[in-house]
Amino acid sequence: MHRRRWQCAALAATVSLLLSACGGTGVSPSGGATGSDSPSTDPGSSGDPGGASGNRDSITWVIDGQPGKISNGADDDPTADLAAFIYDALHQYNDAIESVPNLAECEPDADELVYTCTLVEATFHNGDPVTADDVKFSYDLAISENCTYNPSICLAGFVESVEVLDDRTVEITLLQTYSPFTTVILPALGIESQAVIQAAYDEFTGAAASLDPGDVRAASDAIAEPAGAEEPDAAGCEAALASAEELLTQAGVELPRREDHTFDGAFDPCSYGGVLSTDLLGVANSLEADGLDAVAAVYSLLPFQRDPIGTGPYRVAEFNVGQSVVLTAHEDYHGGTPATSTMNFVIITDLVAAASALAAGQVDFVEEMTPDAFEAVRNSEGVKIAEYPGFLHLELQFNVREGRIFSDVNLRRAMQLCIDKAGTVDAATNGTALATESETPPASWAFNPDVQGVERDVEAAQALIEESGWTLGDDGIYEKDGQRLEAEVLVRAGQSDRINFMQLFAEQVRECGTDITVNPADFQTVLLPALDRAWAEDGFDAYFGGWSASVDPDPYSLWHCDEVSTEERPETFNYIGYCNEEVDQIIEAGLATSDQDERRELYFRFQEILADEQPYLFAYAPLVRDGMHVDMRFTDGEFNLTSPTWLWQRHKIVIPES
Amino acid sequence: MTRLAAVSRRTFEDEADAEGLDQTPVRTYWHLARGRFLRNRLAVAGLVVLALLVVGSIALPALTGDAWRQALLAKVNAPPEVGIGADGELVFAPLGYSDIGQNVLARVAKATGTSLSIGVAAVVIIVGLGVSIGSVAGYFGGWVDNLLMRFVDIVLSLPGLFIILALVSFWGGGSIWVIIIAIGITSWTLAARLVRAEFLRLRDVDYVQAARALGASPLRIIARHMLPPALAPIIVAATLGVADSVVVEAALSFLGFGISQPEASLGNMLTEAQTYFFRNPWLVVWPGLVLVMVVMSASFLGDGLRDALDPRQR
Amino acid sequence: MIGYIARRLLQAVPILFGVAVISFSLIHLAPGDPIDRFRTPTVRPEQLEGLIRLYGLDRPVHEQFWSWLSTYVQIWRPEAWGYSFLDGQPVLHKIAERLPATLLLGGAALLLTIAVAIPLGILAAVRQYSIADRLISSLATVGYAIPSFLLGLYLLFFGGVVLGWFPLFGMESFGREGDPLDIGWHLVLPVTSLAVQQIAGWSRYVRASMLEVLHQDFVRTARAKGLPEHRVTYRHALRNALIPVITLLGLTMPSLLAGAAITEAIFTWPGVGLMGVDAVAQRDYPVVLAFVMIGGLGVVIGNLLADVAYAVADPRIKL
Repeated sequence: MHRRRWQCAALAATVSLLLSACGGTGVSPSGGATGSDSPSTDPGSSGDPGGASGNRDSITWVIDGQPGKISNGADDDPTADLAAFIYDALHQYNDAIESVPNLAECEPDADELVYTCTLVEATFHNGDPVTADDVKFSYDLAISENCTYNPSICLAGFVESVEVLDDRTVEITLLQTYSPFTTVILPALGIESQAVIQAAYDEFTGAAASLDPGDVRAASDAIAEPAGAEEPDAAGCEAALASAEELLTQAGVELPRREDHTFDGAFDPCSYGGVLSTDLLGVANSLEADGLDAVAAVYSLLPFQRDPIGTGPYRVAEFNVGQSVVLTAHEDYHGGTPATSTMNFVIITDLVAAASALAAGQVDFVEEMTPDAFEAVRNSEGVKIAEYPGFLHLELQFNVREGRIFSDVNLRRAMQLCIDKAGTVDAATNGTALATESETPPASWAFNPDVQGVERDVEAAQALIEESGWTLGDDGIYEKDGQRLEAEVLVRAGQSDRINFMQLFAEQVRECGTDITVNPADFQTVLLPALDRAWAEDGFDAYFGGWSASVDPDPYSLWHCDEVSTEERPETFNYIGYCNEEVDQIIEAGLATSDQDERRELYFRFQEILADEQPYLFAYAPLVRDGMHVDMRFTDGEFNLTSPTWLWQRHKIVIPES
Repeated sequence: MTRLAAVSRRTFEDEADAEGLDQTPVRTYWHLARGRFLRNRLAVAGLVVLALLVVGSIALPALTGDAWRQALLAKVNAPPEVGIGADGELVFAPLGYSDIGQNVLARVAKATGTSLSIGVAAVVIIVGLGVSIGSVAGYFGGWVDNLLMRFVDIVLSLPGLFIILALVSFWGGGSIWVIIIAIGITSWTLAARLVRAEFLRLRDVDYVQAARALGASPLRIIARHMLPPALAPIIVAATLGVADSVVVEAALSFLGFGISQPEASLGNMLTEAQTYFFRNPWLVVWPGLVLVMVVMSASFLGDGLRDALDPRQR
Repeated sequence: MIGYIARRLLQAVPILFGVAVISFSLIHLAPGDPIDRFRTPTVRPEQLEGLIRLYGLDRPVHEQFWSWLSTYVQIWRPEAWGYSFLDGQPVLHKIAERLPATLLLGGAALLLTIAVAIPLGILAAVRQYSIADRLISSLATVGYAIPSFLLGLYLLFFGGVVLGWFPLFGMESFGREGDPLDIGWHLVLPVTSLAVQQIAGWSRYVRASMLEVLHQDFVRTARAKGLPEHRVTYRHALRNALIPVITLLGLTMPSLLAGAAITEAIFTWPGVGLMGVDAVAQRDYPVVLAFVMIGGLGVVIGNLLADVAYAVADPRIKL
């Protein structure tokens, strides 16, 4: 599995769904399907059953869109929010973003290749006990080449096999050591009931049995051909639709909506047909495959997803399309009976409206509030706020390639010494962000608290610059060999926090004899192409932007030498051209062990190196704010409202009756 | 819209009794006009305020250098100060500093300059297009006039501000030139109508007919004989056009489609100020005040010019 | 009368056609092609192919235009105006959903304008050169000089933020949907910001028109006949003075609609204007097109109504 880091800015402009993920709460898209952690517990310390007296029996949550497939196929925020209440994975994140046992405790062997997972006693929403077979089944669907889970938890090529040792024990064997298996996969891959999926699948095969896979594949090809041609042939697509629809209907598969494929008033048969074709291909693959591969191929088409059966603290009671989803407590939850009996999820797409509903006491929770939305609740007595730096971090990224002005580490260190970071961040963001010194979120176990910023020291900075052979010119700017110490910083137009930061930055470094020009530019048309040409003669010198970090601290894609962008591979993420042998070794060692203490040590060192070399001048992490009823708490204590995963024991959430 | 109604109504009323007056010798005409203008106190006040704004928008940035752009951390939301700084430089910030430590007065001045330049440049396009289209329609009349006036109707039917928004957003990326052109090509209809009305009237005036009889080319007749007497409404429309364009630019930048930080514009200053309202409420006041001053003085000036240049108007 | 209306309607056709040509060009001449935004990892190549073909990159422009226009006029079909790029909703549906809010805002602003401007204008004219006249004229001058977006911003700050008397955004409070009092409370600030400039313009116009009538012969005759002054003013003069004001109606409606775009954006009023501004920011071309067309329709209908009303009110006009 490739670790993916999304350039949030790129997505914000295009995929609105992921917009909120970019805002930073919970988990970045690479963190897997679940929007944050799974619920529950250390068995034993269960919330007191019945939630004692005096707690409200329902809590109302806001989700900002229509949930889709509530399953391991979830691919958007509202769905993931719900899935977190309904499913458990083997592990879960605690509020330190550590991967801790949930349905099972998984231990790797010495080589970190074989994980042995021991299950706790738990039951599905339908009353069936959770067995090792269910775990194997859920993982096998991910391992299959035909995996139709959310791509971030498909495991083909990473996991060799899953073996059932006994009723309570499974053994997962990886193909190579890969530490994010613990931090990303174990807490994200929900365990489903083999019986339920199998029944849904049997219904499908019952309906599809009469179908000849050859016919299905032919029908799929009949669309794929005219649609995929150089000049798509609408008539050809149109002609093939009827039989495709009929085949899918026979197989009991829900057809896609035609209006989703109508553009400028005209229905596009090839676009619509493309989806049919893919679905048919899934059906054909399924019909031709055996056993689990056959199930995996049609997993995302099966109808169980509207009535999902998991092991989580809540199960679906009502599904009102476009309005709400009602969850009720799963009495036999393995972490103890959930303390609140009903969880209502209402769909409010306008976050400001949602926030004012929160202020008015009509709903109890709104996540990832925009600054506008926050304004609506900030003075409200009935609301408390979870506030934490999210996974998004912004920084000044220097092109450190040979020949570039900022290839000189002295200059980069001087820049850091020239600014009062905390003050600049506070002024630039109006107090809505936290100054940072690394890419690791402060709440993460991998965060090195000893990496501290430096005090502003103009003289020290000037000494560093002069050490590299620069002399102060008449205009107050350093010079060397007739070249002024000047550079242009690209920043995304319209992002006033970032532009503010760079403007304040530019004036401060001017006192150090450096002339920085801030150039706000359009992201799609100017910035992305510029970043892709970082290797070239006319490449950029510095860019102020950011990334959304993953839950796992592995820094491979941003910092490994193999990921340095080149003319042949212009789109890799290490476009600043950073390459350091020690860092490479750390990255590789960090991927080869899942021992958290060992990894922590490695990444602590990594953060020290970056702080020392300053290839990025880390600036700030915007604060994420979730608003909730002021009395909302766990049965056994307050939330840790400064952690991105503060909401981790979902069965213990209560609001005491006032 | 009301303004359009008022101005065009006047010209229609004038059509009936217009003959003859414009043959008055030019020098006397301008002389009289100046006298009439100077007697109009509001118009003179408008002119003075506008002139002060122009001078201020040039002089202040020249005096304070880069202060309008410099974001000084030490001066974030700092109170007003005037004096000589430690390094002997002039510090002139009687309006204090912004949320990111920019000299507010210098920034307002710079923004005023930007806005007025955009206004003037847009008016050049407005007058250019309006005069060309209006004079062709008015001179030739008939189907040419009909065609062009239907075109004017169409442009008038477009939701103007919204079209400008779309043009700037799709083409612009914050470019000043795109803003100028977008305003120019959507706002020329009033000028065209005024010029046309004057031309329709002048078409049948003796000296124009004489020139035509002598075989003068249409271009020459338009440029030499018809444009000068039609100048009055053009000047009035241009004055009001500057104010309108300044407002449009401010609205654009306010909504985030126009000029972006770090460049200064009255509109983007308002947007910035909004975020920091509680910390520094005055930031909302200054750019707005300038905007109102521009519009009000331009409208007094326009009224005064109309009365002065066109005495037939009451 | 019917013949007149029919004739006016017929004249509107070429104008609307022109609006269509211009708005179509606006979208099609925009740099980059409209499908750029779909070039994301989640969109399959075959979908893109379909889009490219639908945007007719392979067809001559005039063909594209005709096929677009012929679909566009079939407004009884929900899909005739295409689907929003952002949420896949039929554009006509989105407009139908949001138009009432805009009409409510614009209508309330128009009513307020009429209710305030006409009495003020009359008062100023009847008491020409009095203190009241001067006060009204000065206020009108100031009111006219404050751009409505600026006024909206200030009202929002002082009425909403500082005093906290009025809501900051939206048309309804959560949980009080459909409550007329609640909607009225939300209307106050946006309507005021829209109406002030109109009131200033209208009151000047009414004053001028009234003065003109008051100096005409028939008014003098009425006075000479010994009719009471208020009867002269309010029966004879007023009726005649208000006829030209009707023309303003036709001009005001479209400018309210255009102004609504910004007012709605400031107050997050859930109307078509806000939708239009959002659509421009997101390059949601079908919705942008729709807003321009709605704007054109508004102007044409406004002018038509004004002309008809004028014809009805003024007996001198023969249809």
